[in-house]
Amino acid sequence: MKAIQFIPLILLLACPSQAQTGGSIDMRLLRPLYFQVHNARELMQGQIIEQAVELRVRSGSGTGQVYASLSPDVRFPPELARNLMLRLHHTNAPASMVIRREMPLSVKPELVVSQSAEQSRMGEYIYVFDVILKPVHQFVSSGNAGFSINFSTHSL
Amino acid sequence: MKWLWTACLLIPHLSLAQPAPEQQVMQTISVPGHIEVPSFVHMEVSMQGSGDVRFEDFADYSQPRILPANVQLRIESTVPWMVMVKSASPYFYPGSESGTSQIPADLISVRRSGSGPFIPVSTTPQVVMSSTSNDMVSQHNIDVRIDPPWNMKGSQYQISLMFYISPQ
Repeated sequence: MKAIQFIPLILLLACPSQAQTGGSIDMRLLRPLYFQVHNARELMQGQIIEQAVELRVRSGSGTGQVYASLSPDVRFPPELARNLMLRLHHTNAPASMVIRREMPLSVKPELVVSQSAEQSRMGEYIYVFDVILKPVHQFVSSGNAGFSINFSTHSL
Repeated sequence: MKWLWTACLLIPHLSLAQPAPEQQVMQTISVPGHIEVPSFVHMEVSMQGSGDVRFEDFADYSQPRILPANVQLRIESTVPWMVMVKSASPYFYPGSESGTSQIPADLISVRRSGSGPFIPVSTTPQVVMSSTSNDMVSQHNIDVRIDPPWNMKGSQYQISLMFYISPQ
């Protein structure tokens, strides 16, 4: 009789955090993120790589956010570090979950997706982003550099 | 006694299930990219009018002829730049056999419009101007001065000026 009463308690103790989290993100690169500038005019016009990144957010049961940030390497032209941005191309998420349609990328994480616990129960959402190099009108350092775009989840 | 055991085990478990006061990063994924931006410098040169300058009477010889904003430069550059000028030859070319080949190129001098001293041209490139702002696209005018060709045979003469742009 004593053994029967302790079974549910042991199960609960084995997975204490599943009640709040359990979400995850997957990212897929749909097009290479390669910006190549051939003349000054191309810099002044800017460049867009459309539908470059697909983000799949699988919700847990709690509230959650997805942040995006930029990691430029040391040779990245510093004048361009604030000129890279994400633009939401399409999503199946409700409008209330879309924080901004355009967001600049910087080393400081910027909020991309925010969902309530209620929205989290709805399942998986897909966000497809364009990656944009905004027009530049001032001198820039020349460079041949790499960068990475990072997505991080916070308590999905 | 059984209920006391149950309560003792539940209390620590419930405290574990509370959300953390500060949110923590649960998962991070990254995608790589690349950017390639070489230095670009481009200049277009245009001239106002035909470029003909006539010295036809004594009054024309009394003072230098100044052609304000006679040359226009349109510059596209991603980096700071400087513009140089030189003459294609050390002397004017006579347009006929009656002319002389001894008129020096430095009768012509140039400057950025409205500012600074005129710089006599020669076959050695000389800096006329350099970028004063960080703007990628800019337009500039060059004043041209021609000193009177004293003691030279009357004829038609010509000379070519060459403008160069280079990164600073």
